This record gives sequence, C-alpha cells and structure tokens, in this order.
Amino acid sequence: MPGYYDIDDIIMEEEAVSVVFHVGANGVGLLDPGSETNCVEKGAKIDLPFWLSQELCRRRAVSIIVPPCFNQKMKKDVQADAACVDLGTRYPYFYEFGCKIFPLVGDKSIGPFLRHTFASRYKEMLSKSHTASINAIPKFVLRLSKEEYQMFDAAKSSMVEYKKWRVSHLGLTKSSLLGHKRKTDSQLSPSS
Amino acid sequence: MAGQSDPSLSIFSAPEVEFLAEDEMIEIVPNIRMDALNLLCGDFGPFLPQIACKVPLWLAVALKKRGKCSIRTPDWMSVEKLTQVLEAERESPREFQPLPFHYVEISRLLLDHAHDDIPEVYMVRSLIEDIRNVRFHKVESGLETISGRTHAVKLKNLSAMEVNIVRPFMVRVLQAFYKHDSPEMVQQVDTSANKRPQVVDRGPRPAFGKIWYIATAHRTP
Amino acid sequence: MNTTFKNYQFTMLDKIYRSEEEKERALRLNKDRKMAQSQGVTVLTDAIKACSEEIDKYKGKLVVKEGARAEMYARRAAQLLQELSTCEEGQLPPYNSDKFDQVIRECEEHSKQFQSLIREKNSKNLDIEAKNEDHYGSFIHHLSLIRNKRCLMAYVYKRAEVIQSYRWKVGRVLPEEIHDKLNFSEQEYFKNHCAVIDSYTKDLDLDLTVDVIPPKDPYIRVRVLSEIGEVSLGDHSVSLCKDSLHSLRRTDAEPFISQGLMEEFME
Repeated sequence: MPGYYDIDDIIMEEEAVSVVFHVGANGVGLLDPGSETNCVEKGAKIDLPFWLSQELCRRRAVSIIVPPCFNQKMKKDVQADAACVDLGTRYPYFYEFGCKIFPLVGDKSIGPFLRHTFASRYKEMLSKSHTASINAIPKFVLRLSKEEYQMFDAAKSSMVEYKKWRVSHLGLTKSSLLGHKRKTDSQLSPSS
Repeated sequence: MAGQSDPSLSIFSAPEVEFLAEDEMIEIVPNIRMDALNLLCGDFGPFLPQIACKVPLWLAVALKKRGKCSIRTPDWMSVEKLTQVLEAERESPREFQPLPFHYVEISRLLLDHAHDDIPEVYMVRSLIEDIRNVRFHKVESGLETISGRTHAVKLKNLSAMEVNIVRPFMVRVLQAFYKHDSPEMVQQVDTSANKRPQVVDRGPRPAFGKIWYIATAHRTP
Repeated sequence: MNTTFKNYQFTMLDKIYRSEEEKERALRLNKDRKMAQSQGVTVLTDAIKACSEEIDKYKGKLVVKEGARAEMYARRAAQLLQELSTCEEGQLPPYNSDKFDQVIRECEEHSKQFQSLIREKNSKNLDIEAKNEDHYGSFIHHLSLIRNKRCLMAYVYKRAEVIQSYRWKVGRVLPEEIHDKLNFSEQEYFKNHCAVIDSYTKDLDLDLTVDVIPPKDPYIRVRVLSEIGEVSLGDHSVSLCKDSLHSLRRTDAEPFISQGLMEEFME
C-alpha cells in the first residue's frame, strides 16, 4: 500500500479518467469546459483527475468509464506481443492505475489482464537487465512502465556495482552530490 | 550497516558483503614470532614461524600485506576441486554445487593479496570466473520460472554475493506478482489454487544454513 | 527527530503568512506604484479603466470564462511534485515558493467556496441528510482541499528527507549550490538536524558519519586537492598544502574526501 507521502502515488492519481455525473454539482463549473453556468449538470460526461473521480465514484455521484489503456484494443496488442507495447510513454503508471481503477469500474477482466501483461513482459526485462551495459540505455527501456523501470534499474545497478567491485578497489570518493554536472543527453525517466 | 545504494530496500553494497566475508577463518603460516592477540572476536596465536594457525581473513590479509605470513589456499580453491565443481555445475541445470558461502569474496581477496601463495593462480582465477558465470546464468533461468502464486523462492547453496546481486530485482518482482495475484485482483474462481500446497509463512525469513529465502513483503490489506 | 520535523512544518506554515519575502515583495510593489505615479504614467491606468468599463458594459450578458490560465483543481500542487520526481534521486530542485504560495491561495479559494456552498445549502432548509447540488459542489471543494494538502505535505516531507540525507553524504557544511536551493526554514531544519546527530554522536562517543564504506586499514594515503592549511588532528597538527601527500587516519580524512578537498591516493 502506498503511503500518504508517496510521490509516485500522488502523481499517478493525477491521471485523467472520463466520468459520467449522476448528480449535479454547484460552484464547480471549472470542471466542465462545456458548461455555460458555474455548475456541472447531471448526466455530464467529463474528464476528471483520478483522485477526484475515485471519491465521487465511491459515493455513487459519478460512474467511471473504463480508460483506454484497459480496452479491447489494448488487450489485443498485449495478446499479440506484450513486450512491444509501449507503456513508458503512454501509461507510465499502468499497473498501479489498473489496481486502483479495477474495483471502481466493475470490469473483472482487468485484474487477470494486468497479471498477464506483467508476466509476459517480465522475462525480457530480466534477460536484458543483467547484460545491459553501464552507459548505453537500450531502446526497450523507454517502453517500460515506471514500476517496470524501477525493477530493471534495480537489477542493472546491482550488476554494475558488482562489476565495479570485481575490477577495482572501491575507496572513498567525493560525495556524488557535489560539483554535479547535469546530464544534458537523454536523462532517462520513463515518466517524462 | 544499511546499504548505501538504496536505503529503502536495505541492500548490502558489494564492499559491505566483502566486509562480512572477512570474518571467515583461514589458515596462515607465520614467518615471525608474536604473542597471542586477544581481540573482541576471539584470541588468536601465539604465532610461531612455520607453525600453521587459523585466523580471520582480515587478519590474515593484514599480516600478509606486511610480509609476516603466507596464506594457505583453502582446499576448495585448488584447480582439481574447482574443475570438478565447474563440471558438476554444467551438468545439473537446476542445482547449485555447495561452495563456501562467501566463495566470491574470499577468492577475490586471496587473488588480490596472496596471489603468490596460490598454486596455478591464473587457472584458479579463470575457473572461479567460469563457475560464477554458469551459476549466475542458472539464477537467471530460475527467475524466468517465477509466475503468479510464487511467494518465496528457495535457492539452495546460493552464495552471499550471488544473492546480493539478484535481491533488489527479485524482491520487487515478487512484490509485483504478489500484488497482481492477491484475491482482490483475481476474483475468478480458480480451482487449481486449492489443490496446490501454499506457502504458509509469507514474511521475510532469515537464512537457515545455506538456504536463502527471498520472500515478498507482508501483505497489507 | 519527530519533533524537529513537526516544528519544521509549523515554521513552514508560519512562513506562508508572515514571511519576510512576502513583506519585501509588498514593499517593493508599493514603491513601484508610487514611482509610476510620480512619473505621471497615467496612460496605463487609463487603459485599464477603459477595459474594465468595457467589461462592465457586457456584464450579465456574457459569461466571462477564465482562459487557459484556469487550472484543474490541485493541478499546480501536482506540478510541484513533478518537479521533485523528475529530479535525480537524492537531489533537490530549488524550493518553489511561488508555486507553493499559489497552491495556498487556491486552498483559501476552495475554503471560501466550500463555506458559501454550505451556507447556500443550509438556507434552503433541507433535511440534514439531503444531498443536493450544493452538497456535491462543496464536497468537490472539500476533496480538492484535502488533495492540495496531501501534495504540499508530501513536497515538504520529501524535501526534508533529502535534506536529512545531506548530513550523511556531504557533511555539516552545505556547498553554496545546494544551500541556495533550500528556503529559510529548510536551512534551519538542516542545522537542527545536524545538531541532533551531533548530540547523539556525543552521547555514543562514536562518529556515525564516518566509515560509510567498510574500512580496510586505519590509515590511508591521501593527496590534497585544494589548499586546506593547518589542521589539528587529535594530538598533532598537519599542514595540508595543495598537491601534498599524507598518511592520515581514515576517519580524519573522510570528511575532507567527501567534500572533495582531497582524494585517496593509490599507487
């Protein structure tokens, strides 16, 4: 369970989902760009951030429409070749989002779908992570979701550290925080 | 001694694992006369020229560096033994041969500081490297078999450094599988689940003997 | 350590209302305005007046919508966290006090809206359990407030965590480029955190911040990288000139090495 201060969790909850209002709400016209008044009308279909949709859905004020990353097309793509699906740029929080949205939309297939997706993608991650060279960033990394990237990075950096230890004496060094030059070339971050 | 690399997962860094390995005992042959050392970790000596005695590896290396002794290469580090181990490793694709728990670190320390005491040192160096590669390849193919319902992975005879390398990745993977496999996520009736023996204790376990369990974190409801 | 963190949060909140910066900015604004007036720049004020008259004319007929500047509720707060998240692990972006203040203002707006909707609802004399449009409107403002609060707390908390780690990685004195990224309360927090560690270290009679890598030998050879000068180490003093080589106690050398003033010398 992510904690209250979990930054990844907070950013993930910023993800937009389409909802249909079952009630009206006054004083929140900003939410609905199509609204002429300062209200959201009953029956309006709008995009809201997940943190808001979730609470409104729990109180049956709105219902959530299954987001595109769990629709039939996506399922077919994963079926065809899971490793090729680009989660990194499109849905960096694919799994976390799936886990949270799944009890709210009543689509029972999402749970097994997430597991299937992860299980099929994990092997490639495994085989590439330990052999990846220290500096080059393989292209496939950009396709990984944030969670997958963290796994890949964990495997890669422990291997890199081991290799360093093998060949040299690891002595004291200057703190990595000092005199830090910003990397101008592709600083890897799957969320960006 | 929490790991420096990632405090949230408390992994050991390679130098930290090496530090732990330095407590292993090893035989030295002193070339000096010296009184016994009464240390926190035990009493060693007295040291007499040409009389072998056992000391912790760190002490052996410290004496060796100052030219006060030679270190006796352990039995398992002989070319003959290592060749046997390498063959056995290649023949059994699923099992790991019993080697000292800290074989990677001990061999590295001895090759670095006492290479003149090791017979056929180049052969030894390359054999150990080969063994480590074969074993690590096995760990990887073992990891490929992880799927849902894996709550703990039993890796008999895996050594400290080997475990340390795979731990960060493995813990995360098991956590992910565990999350996606929780009953809330899989609401379908799965009959095969009841027949399979379940791992009862899901908490992280200590290492007993040479068997390591890399278990998932506790489930939070 | 918990109390320091709490204190830190309090000072943070305090800062929001009564910071020196805020006062300074207000003073500056006032000064600017006076200067503009004294120079007789009235063209601008006339233009503004004309514009507002124009708007007044159409008031009621036209719904003046907030343009692209209107952000989804709590979006700015999430942007604050994005800044932290895209930063490399263990590093901090400069403290974004502008955005932080904007979020606080958004919170005040939510609070105002929330109260007015509740008043509206109460004035309709409905059943206490009844849920009308006012109820859901106020609920959304309430949720947005809570969301904003969570983001701000996480922002402050994460930064506090990184600031704590500086003591272990860099030492008691922060280099300018890091120091400048912290706001005043954070600098105070760092000082207090150092004091806590120092007093604990003193009680233990063991310096916890040295030997982060298991030591091999009590002494190491070092090369001095920049002029340090006369330093007293335990019972003797050494003159650490640039490019000179020394054999020092590892624990003595470690702070200098982590600050980049000397390096371990290996043959």
